Amino acid sequence: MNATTRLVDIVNRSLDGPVVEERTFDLTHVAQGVQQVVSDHGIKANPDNIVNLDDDMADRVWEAAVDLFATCGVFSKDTGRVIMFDRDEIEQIVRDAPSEVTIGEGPDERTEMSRTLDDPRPPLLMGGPIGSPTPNELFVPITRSYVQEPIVDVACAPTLTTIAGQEVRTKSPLEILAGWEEAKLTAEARHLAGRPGIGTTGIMISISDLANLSATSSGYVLPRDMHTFGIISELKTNNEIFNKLAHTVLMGGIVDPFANPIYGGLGGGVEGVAVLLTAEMIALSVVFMATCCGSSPTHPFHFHSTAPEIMRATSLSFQALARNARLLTNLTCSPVGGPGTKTVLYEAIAYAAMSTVSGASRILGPRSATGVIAAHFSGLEARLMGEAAHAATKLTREEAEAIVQTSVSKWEHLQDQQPYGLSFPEVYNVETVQPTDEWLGMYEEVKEEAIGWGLPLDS
Amino acid sequence: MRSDWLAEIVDRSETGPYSKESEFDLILVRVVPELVKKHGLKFDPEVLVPADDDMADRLYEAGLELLSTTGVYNQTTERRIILTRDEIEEVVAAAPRKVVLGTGKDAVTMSHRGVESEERCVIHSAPTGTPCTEKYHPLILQSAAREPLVDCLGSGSVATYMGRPVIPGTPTEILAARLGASVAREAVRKAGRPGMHINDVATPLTAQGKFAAMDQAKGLRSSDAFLVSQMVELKTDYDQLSRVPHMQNAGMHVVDLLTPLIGGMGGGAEGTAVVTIAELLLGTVCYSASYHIFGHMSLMNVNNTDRMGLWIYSIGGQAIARNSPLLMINAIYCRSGPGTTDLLWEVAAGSVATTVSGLHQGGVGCTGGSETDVYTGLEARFNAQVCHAALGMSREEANGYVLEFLNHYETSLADPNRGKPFRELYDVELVEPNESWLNQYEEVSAEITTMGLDMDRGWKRALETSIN
Amino acid sequence: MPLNKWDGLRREINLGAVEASAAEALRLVEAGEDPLTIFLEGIEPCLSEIGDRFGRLEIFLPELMLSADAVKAIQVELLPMLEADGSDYMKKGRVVIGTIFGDIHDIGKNIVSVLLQVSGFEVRDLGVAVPAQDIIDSAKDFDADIIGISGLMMPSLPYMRDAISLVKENPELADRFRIFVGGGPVTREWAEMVGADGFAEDAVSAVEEATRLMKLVKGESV
Repeated sequence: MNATTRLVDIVNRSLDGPVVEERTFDLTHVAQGVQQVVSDHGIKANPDNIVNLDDDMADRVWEAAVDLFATCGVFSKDTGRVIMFDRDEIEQIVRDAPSEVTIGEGPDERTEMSRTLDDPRPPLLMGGPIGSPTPNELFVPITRSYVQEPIVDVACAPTLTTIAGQEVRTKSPLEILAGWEEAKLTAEARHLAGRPGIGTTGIMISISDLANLSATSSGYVLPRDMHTFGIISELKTNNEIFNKLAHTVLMGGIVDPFANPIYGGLGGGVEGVAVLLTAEMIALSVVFMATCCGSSPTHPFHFHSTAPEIMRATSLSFQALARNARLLTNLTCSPVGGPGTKTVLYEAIAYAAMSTVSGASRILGPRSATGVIAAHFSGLEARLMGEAAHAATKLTREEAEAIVQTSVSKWEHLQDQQPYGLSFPEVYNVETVQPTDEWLGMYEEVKEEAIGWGLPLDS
Repeated sequence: MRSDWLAEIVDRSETGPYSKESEFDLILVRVVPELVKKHGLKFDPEVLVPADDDMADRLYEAGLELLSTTGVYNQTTERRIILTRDEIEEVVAAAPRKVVLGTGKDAVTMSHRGVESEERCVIHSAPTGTPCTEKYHPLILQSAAREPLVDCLGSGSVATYMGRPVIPGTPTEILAARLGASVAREAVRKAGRPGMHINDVATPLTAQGKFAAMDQAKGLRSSDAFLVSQMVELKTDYDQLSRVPHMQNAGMHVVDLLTPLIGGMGGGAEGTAVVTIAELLLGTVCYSASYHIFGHMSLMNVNNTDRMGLWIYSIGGQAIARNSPLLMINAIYCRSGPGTTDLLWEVAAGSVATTVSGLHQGGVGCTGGSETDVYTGLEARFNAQVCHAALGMSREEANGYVLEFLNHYETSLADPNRGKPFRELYDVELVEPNESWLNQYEEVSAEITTMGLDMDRGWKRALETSIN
Repeated sequence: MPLNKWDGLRREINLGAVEASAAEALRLVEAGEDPLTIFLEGIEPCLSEIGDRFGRLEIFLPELMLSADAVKAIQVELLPMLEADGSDYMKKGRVVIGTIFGDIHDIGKNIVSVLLQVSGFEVRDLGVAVPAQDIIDSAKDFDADIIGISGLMMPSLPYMRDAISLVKENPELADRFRIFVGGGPVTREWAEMVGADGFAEDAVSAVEEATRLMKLVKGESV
């Protein structure tokens, strides 16, 4: 089925699918559905581990997720109907989904490939703070601080806080102006870093479909760039999301959506979130025609993705995906720590190791300080995250588990302390776009420490 | 004042005086008659092409006063964007006096035309406001694009995508928008004129739908344009305003579409003329338009070929032509449909009244958009021939012709012949008009030639003297 | 340990058993318990415990939603009795809540909505992407004491400020509604700058904030 026909088919299902009350969908289809399949398949995560070491459990999570998605579907808020696919269709579409994609152009071209658990190839590193707020004057230096890191394969930009001195207002002309500005500034950062062809995703300011379509047509977006959009938690959509998808499909862009389940939300705890996250990755492939399926499961109170229980669920889910499908899957590291703290570095190491040995094909971020504190992120933590991912390819899951546990023990007690650290100009020279000696020293120190734990960052 | 003052328009949209839309309408209803009276504006049903320079200037002044009194209503924020007289005058003075439309060998220059100007009209054509079926849309556009006198194409609108209704704001609108754009691009390419200016893709109604139609290779490009509409009367919203920065950034032309309603908020002919002027100024100030579609219509009959409609075209066109550099194209909304001589007489009247009053030609809206597929390239050819025959004509003479043309169709306006769809008027393989439609065209052309308009050589002379 | 007379009721609420909860509450009334006492001594400590357990992530949103449904069912049965007794127990506070225009995030807002309900507030949840004026209209229609607005996307925040201005700049509404805001990019400083009455860091603190605002509404010291 060609892409347009598939898209029309999905739209038609959203117009013809069964009618359900939204609350019933939330509570019965999703929440009780998750509980049901968790119980049916006997899903139980080992509370002592963060990195999953149980292949059979991963396979059961996969089966549970397919069961869940086949009975639950995706709810369209605009039509009040559920987009349903049966088990055969789901399996067929997932089988046919791309297992590699080329991103970027020229010397900066990279291929993202589906990975297995013991894959010796590292996941791609997408460096950047992914839509975190940034004042205009810091947009280029911050983006450049990531793009200039040789270990960064692809990049994602922050987002502007104002345009023409005014707050950006969605669905107004200011959002159009801001979207074009972000696209332009991202291109500028690529050029200044000497990597004009590096693949990017961005224009995160343009949350509405019209601003997104406008800015992606700006000419600043390369044909092999990625187009990202989030679906509505949990397993919901609307026409605006499909409009972005339709435009991306027709432009021939790389469809790079994400679904971020909330820990403690409708999926419940570790087991439920593992199954729900897996089902959402499947949904991204089946309903949202994803080339790459992404997530950053989120803590309900502290908004990070590195909490031990969240990493436990994430590892289980991504292993389920890696063992049972060839999807391109990515994870965004949203640490609670910010630049100038060791916390963010420990979190980046733990998240990279967990993701790498759990089969993720790309790691994004870090979106330091949970991505909500303006300009509290820098390229240096991405460097360490990339290095940790490369090093983790030399580890068994058991070895990685030990590293993750040690790392977590360093900052677990700080999760609710908001260790947001320092802003970019306090940790980088804004003109030379180089880290300060203090920040670099801290990075070196943590790196040495991690080598001591057995993470081969030196080889 | 500066060229990129859209952020200022948004700021005023957020901070201007708050009012309910109905309250804004009431302001308009009160102010317009005062201005008509103050400036002594008077519609004479026997003088549809007035040769009264002073009245044209007074009308311009009334329009300027109206806009600087009421401001523009932003429906999204429910606030009035207040504009001072000085600001309006400054922006209007700096508006383009000519624009290049299209690219490469197919580019044309559209220049400001004065009253009774010898300057040739640029001819746009499209199924204006007329819905097409998916099946015939490509052929209908081709029939226009291949007419040698047509300079620019509008892409028209299609109500379905693969048989499903196109619902604004849904992905079918995105799909249909991109398809519509590629059909238009293909039409000009097939006509051997790949760089011809395309002035809109009318299927999508939302901004995101318009943006989806942009594609350098297969859709609209920077030498093309999209419409930004005004809502009746003197209203805009963020969806419309959001199109402006997109097109400015992409280097596209912004086309301002205004459709004041005769018998609506402006009242009769004089009041609607005042509203029309104010809206032409609005489109210049808020939308930074390259050119304007002057598209007033009767509230009841959805046409502008009756006496009031023709008078507004003429006096409104003169007011703008004499007092500003703005570029205008008409949209001749007719009661009749193709395949009838009535339609051709309506087109002839609209064409002459606007040509001598400073407008370029924007195309024919058959049946006021009430029927589907009622457009053919032949009426575009006819429109072009009539207007070029009227170049340099005096207003008095033009008035005589318009009244004579009106005699041929005025009585049928109440109960018009809606004509036939494209497939019954054209050979759909050759994309050529069939004999009966061609005969009607030749019959009316001959009659007009007998009246003294040179249907055959007028356009040839125009092209000889034209810089394009 | 002797069986507490509220244990049965609390078990049903914890299970989210709608009908059984209502039935147990009615049984307690028939056994001679005063409806107000049932709420104050039976239900409130139970709800407080449920909120705390969610705060510690021992239970999750689905359990919260079901427990809220159970309490609502009890309210339906016991409310007429409370009113007949002239009690103002149910006047804990009325809240309209929604995610602001331009934003479709709903889980965080749903958690706040449910936590408020299990804490005894009457809540009208307007859903997501709600225009500023609609929030105000709903607050009037619902006769709310408090308006809660959530927003996770920066370009949506100007609309949140609009909603606050529509209340604070309107002399007829300025004292009628207390507004509190929250969500990813919303900070305490921003909330203060735009004139919000309250700010919630997360879902648990949202209940504390609503409780504080209700004291202001009632003219109590906070």
